[in-house]
Amino acid sequence: MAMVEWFEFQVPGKVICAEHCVDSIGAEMDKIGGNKALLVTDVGVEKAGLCQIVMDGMESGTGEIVGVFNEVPPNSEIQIVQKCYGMAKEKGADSIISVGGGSCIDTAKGATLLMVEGGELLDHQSAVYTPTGAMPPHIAIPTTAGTGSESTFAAVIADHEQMMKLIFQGPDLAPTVAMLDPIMTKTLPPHLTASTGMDALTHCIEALHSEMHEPICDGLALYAIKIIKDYLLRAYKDGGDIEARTYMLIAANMGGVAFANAFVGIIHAMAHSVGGKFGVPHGVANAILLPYGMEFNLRYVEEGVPEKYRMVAEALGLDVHGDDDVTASRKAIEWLRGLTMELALPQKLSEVNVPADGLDAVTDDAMIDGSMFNNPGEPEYEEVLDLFNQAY
Amino acid sequence: MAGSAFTAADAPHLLKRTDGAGRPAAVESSEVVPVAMPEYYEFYHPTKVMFGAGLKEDIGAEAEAVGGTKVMLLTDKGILGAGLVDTVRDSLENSEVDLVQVYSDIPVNSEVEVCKEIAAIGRENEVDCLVSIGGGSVIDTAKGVNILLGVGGDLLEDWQGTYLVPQPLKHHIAIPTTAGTGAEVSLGAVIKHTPGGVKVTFNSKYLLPDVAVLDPTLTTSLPPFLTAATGIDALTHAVEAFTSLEHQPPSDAFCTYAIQAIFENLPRAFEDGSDLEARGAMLVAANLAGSALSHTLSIGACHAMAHAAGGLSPVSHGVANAIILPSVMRFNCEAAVDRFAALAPFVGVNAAGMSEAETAVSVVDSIASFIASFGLPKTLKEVGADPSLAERMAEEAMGDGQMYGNPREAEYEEILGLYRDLLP
Repeated sequence: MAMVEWFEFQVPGKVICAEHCVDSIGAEMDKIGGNKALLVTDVGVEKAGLCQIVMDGMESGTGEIVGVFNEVPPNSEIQIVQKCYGMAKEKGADSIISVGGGSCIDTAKGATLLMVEGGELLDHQSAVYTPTGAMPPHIAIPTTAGTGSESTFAAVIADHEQMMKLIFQGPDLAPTVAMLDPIMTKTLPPHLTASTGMDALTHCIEALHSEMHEPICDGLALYAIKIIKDYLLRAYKDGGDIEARTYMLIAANMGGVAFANAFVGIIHAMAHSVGGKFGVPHGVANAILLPYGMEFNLRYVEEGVPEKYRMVAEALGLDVHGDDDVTASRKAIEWLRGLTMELALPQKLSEVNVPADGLDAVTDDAMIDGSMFNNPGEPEYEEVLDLFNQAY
Repeated sequence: MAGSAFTAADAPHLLKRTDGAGRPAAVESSEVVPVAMPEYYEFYHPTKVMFGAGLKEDIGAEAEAVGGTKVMLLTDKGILGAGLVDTVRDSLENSEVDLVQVYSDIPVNSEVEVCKEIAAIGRENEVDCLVSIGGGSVIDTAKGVNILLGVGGDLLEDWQGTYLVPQPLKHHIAIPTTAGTGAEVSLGAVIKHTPGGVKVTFNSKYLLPDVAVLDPTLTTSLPPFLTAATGIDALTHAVEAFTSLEHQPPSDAFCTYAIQAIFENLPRAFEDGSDLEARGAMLVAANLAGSALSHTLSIGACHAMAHAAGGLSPVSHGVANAIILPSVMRFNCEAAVDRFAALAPFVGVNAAGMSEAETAVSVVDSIASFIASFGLPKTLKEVGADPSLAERMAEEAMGDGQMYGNPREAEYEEILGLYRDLLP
């Protein structure tokens, strides 16, 4: 394991994990000083009855839920965050509870920023957000085991006017508490379990090969990969398998912490662009692009990529004894490809409504995506276009 | 003022579940039981960890960044004499913050009286940020001082124990000069109370430093014996945290990574102290192991026995761990076959063709021979412990808070037997 020269690592929020821990959310909110919470969610989560569990859980404390904002779309938007903040102000909320996938949690992060600063979200773009006052308490409850957003300190929010996804980040945007409760994920349908689980796995692998990789995140990512290997198929085949659901939440959370500190690379850059242009769900895009991106990154030998993938192969329990690093890496890539097939996920971009003549446009976007700059080496336009063609 | 006993709201994971739904029981329940994963865990790591050779030059900027204005630098004579403080002091003096004092009289084992003395100076100078540079004793002393500066009161009367400190304290930047204790990311502080020499424990999330600065240029001058002793201390944290009944996934990840890093880098740092890469990897490994320890409510018999041995003999904590760990691993092996076997890839054991039980034994053997390779003392007698104190050590170890997390429930006679073997 070669040592990096410099890194920083932090996890600003507290993580709590237990089956039924959401039943104690009221007591948890008391501890961090929230009295009037706005619940931020989407219609699907609400329909699944998951908000009711949170409302019942508030009984364990003295605070109350003063409003429910359920308009979060699959990809959060500036206008939605403004609207969410408007509701928080109107209802006199002093705290936020976000329940949902990454989009809900990221919307809530944006709302906490506005609760401190007021005004327009677009006026608060900076490299690192530094609050001018105390951040409101925020409890995040993921309903997918994928993004890890409950413990990251970035919010990805789309601006339709600029046709761009904007990133707001800073340690103070991290939720105060993340509650991992398998009761909140056990009703997630198999195809979403599969794609969000592959999102988590992709975070881990990209954190490992990222140019910003660092040992603490390596440790978290490798352990999370082991967990995902053991539990993703179980959770996919039997959603009610609480042990598998719990471990998948844990792995996604560890993956979130890893990539929040180490960042991601080419696979996310490409997934963002096909998501932005053609609406390919983030987890599905990651699952399709993962083996191609890994195969591509194998060329970065000096940057230590094959050595890292060998560790992935070992974490996956593959027998790589006596293999050179590249051979071991290819075994890992093949295993991951097999996993996505077993999860019945699409294998090619042509299967998910990406038009053949759209590959130039997504390459343009991928080349300027922030994640591309954290990939090892400096992938060329032609190389990325070629990669899109292979994945097509 | 006397602090109230900790409640379910502080640590629901300590309380037995009675409603059958896995929900923490009501506050009035106080029965403490170990709960294995994945039923409940908390992971809280707010300390920012910074790593890099030469970061000691940036401490002033970091003190500004956390919001410090009046800073006190805490260290000991050895560190000062080795010249490790100079750059840090210069960095603080050249920044916007006001360095009001450098206190360098911290003893080898931190003491309550010293904390009081430093806190008095700090209060007089309205210090709002502590910078500690040293081993575990210096960093733990700073934590004790911080309690007194942050909430006042009497350290022993009011704050010893777990989760009693009620509010955030002053800023604290911790800079370790050994790769061992991981005190820079732990929520605990162990401070000696003289006379009597009792070691008092303080646990609170508010004791976690704001920033931990890992700079390998600060550990290159550590001599080989101390490099080995502190490195094996870190290894013990990782092995015990991983095999504890209280282990949890994020700290499992930290432990496995730390163990592998220690196996690869401690021999290098031991052979060549100036090997910056190995020194850096060891600092990170000790940091991860320290965080794992801090997240594990009770880590096991080795630590319990090492605490007792340390209180009743002149043996240092790291050396005590190095002496005791092999015996405790053998004692625990059968009860934690799966946990020991899971460590195989990280300690150079190729488990192909072996049963889980055989793998576990190989792992224990591998760790024991790794420890033996540094030529550290092998018995407590060699380090000056009195064999007639074996019973007292066993009694104290049995009552130590680290004992209940041990994967095999230990009887007094068994622990006494382990001590007797180490006190021939």
